[in-house]
Amino acid sequence: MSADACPDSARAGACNGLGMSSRSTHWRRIAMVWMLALCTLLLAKPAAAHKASDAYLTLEVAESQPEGSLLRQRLDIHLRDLDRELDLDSNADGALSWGEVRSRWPDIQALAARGLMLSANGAPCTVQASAAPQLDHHSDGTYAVLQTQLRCVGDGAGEGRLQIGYSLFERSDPGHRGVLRLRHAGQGAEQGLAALLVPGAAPQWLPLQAAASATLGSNPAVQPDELGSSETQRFFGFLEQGVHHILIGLDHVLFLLALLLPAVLVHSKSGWQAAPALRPVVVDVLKLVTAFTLAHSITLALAVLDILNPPSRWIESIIAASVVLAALNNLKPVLGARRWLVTFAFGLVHGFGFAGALKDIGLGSGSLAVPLLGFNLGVELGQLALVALFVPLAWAWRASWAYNTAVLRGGSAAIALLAMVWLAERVFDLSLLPAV
Amino acid sequence: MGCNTSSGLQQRMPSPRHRPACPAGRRAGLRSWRCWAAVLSCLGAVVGALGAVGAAGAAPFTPPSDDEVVQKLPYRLDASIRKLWQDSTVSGSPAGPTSPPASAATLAQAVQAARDAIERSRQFGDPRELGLAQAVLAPWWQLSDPPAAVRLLRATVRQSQHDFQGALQDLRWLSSRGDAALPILAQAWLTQAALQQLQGQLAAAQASCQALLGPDFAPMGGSVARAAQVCLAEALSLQGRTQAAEQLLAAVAADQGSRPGSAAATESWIELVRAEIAERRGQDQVAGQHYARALAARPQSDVYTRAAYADWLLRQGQPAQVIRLLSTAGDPDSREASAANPGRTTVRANDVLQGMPDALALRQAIAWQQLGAPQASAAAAELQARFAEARQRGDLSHAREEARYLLDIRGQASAALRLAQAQWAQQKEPADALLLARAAVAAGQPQALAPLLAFVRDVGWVDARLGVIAPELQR
Repeated sequence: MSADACPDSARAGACNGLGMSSRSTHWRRIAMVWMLALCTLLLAKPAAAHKASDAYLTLEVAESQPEGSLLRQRLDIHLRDLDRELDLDSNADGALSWGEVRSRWPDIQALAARGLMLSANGAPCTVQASAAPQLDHHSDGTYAVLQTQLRCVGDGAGEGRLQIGYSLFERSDPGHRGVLRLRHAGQGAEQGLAALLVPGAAPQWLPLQAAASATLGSNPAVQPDELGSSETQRFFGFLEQGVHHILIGLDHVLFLLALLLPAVLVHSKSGWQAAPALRPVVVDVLKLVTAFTLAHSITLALAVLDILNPPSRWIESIIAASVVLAALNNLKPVLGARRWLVTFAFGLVHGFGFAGALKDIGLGSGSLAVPLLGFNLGVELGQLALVALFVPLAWAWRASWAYNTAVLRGGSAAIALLAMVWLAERVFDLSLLPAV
Repeated sequence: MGCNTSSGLQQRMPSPRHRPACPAGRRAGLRSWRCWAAVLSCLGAVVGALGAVGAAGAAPFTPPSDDEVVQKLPYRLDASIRKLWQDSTVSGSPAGPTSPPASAATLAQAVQAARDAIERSRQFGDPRELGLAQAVLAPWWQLSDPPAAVRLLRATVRQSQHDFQGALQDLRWLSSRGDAALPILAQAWLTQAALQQLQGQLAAAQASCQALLGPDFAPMGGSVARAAQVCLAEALSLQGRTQAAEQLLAAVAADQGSRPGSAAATESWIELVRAEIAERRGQDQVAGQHYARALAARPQSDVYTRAAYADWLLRQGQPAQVIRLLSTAGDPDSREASAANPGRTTVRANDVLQGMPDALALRQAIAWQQLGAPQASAAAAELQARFAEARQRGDLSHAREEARYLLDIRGQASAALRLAQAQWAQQKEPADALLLARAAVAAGQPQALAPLLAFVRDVGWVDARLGVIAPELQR
């Protein structure tokens, strides 16, 4: 073996040296070769540092009360880090397919659960729901996205502190870090507290109360963000939530749709006919939408200001009933011109439903006017978007057989059926439909 | 559908010559249909835009098919390494000072695995590998008196993580005791010299190099002597003795060349140092020849060599050559795509930069910018995201790259100067000096040159490039 037996330092590992070889006659020369190969690398200045292993943890406090808190947790972990611990690349082809990741999702969840322990006032937070497997891109590659909803039960003392124990990749990469952002519902993506989590370090304590005004104690790793929460930002946060809520709140959407379906038609003895003129149609739509808006704005405000607080199970049940009724009325019209009045009545109930959603998000600290206005305006915008999408299409197709039969009758029947299942679920507290 | 707000506003103004936008008249059926459709569509668009703004930056997705490749794994652990760190840590917490850790065989295996990981981190510029090196050495990492081989690797990892003090502490311990195996000792001196040089302690660096030329290391023969001479030449050249340095290096190169099958890595290293010295002496053409030889000697050379050559090419006004040079730096797939057609502008920036370490991605982005390539803006955005994420983890070790990015890509000289000053406080290499000088001049703050001027005078630093930027820096 010549002194240059390891021509490429990439293969320096093949020259097992360091004086630990039993073949002592050769060790020195072998070791020298290794050393020289390595030294050329070490003498070259350290290459600029690039991105090491990070995980991104976002905690959103949806609701914080002395008796318990509701947290939405999102944890992004690099697939390369997961592969290192879990050997995800089952066909060992040096590339992870979505199937390879998805099939091992329970293991990924278990690893995340072991590496991240959340507790409040001494009691561990419990997972209430987990979202389906998803991915996201960061600057250095693809990450697994684990989203869960947690319930943290307090001891009634109202201490309101969250303890975070972090040990992710402690064994396989001590250089790993967790980048934490804690915020409260209604705060923007750049708001809240930021902290760095070091695997295996002592647990960190974070305040569960509104982060913007939180005191940070003696924890040096936690710094309040420069980005405060201005009222404008708060307003737009709630506006966004309002739009979001109406667009994903299927019961509200279906109620509106059931009302709008026959708006482009007129009913006579021979059944539904295409409306001849636009003006009455527009007036009808405006009447319905205004009635619904006025009604739910009133009760939303009453509920948020804590003037009226009806039990949510009743409210949810009546909302389901309202959808059933609106849909059935399309199949066998009984309400006639008084539709807007009935819409107003049910709108009052839907308003309590919106209030429940807004309270789930959390009103945050500060003036109540901001969440109230923002959220309500968001709901109206979402509602208008729905009207904007649906009414022109309905007007264009109103004369067709398909609209009259398939869309109006079929659609209404389907809505009525679905809403009946909801009604049964909500009245009897059952779970009949698979969780979405 | 048209939604022109300005004309809408205008039309709402009561004007006898314009009809209102939404006529309430009885027979306005068609027109009002259009009007309402337009208004409602506008509202829909506004709401849609709001939703898009809300979703930006945090949009998890579900790939459409199980077969879709979602992440490349360029170098995976083999099963034996996986087993190694699992064994070493599963049995309990990392061993404390009182519990003698695993057997000598396990130690040898762990040292080997750590060395491989460090080598990968150098070649690919991937700091994850440093974490792995630390992980396999975990049973010994926290020991106050670890085996010498572990101590050396610990110093290396610390150096790469920019923990210069921690690294120097380990290296001083090794070099002052002298009871470690000779190769480990020699490596400790060399690494120590590199660290001292990096911190601008040039006289100390020179002494470290000279220690290797002493009688203690004579049994190790010519290879260590040659490494020591290259080390010494670099230290001398930085203190203004460029002529002596170049003569020394020419002799080493001749000696190295006379040995058949000589180590490519050593040859590449010698050529790199000669190139850098020539560049500082203002001999640009000679420097280019040495850079080319350094790369030719070891085509899969490390990030540092390629970055240095790329900088030389950029200074020579050859950005197209930079694209060609770096076409072998990213993921294998993107490598194929860009190597097949290096001048093509349709190659997507993200495909090229994917898997490319920051130092090379930066040069690629600057080259695109100088070429006016369409990828330039996407590359700048990608770099910005990388720096933001590094800052989130509290990593400030990329100051040199970020300052250069701000200066050369964003044109934000003042922000670049602040980072360059912070970097100069930590590291005093020629690249740092150059950056500080350029940023100070670009920001119109010549007073920021003062610490650099003092340092240059103090150590006799010679760098023709500095004189071009600010004549007072070179007499």
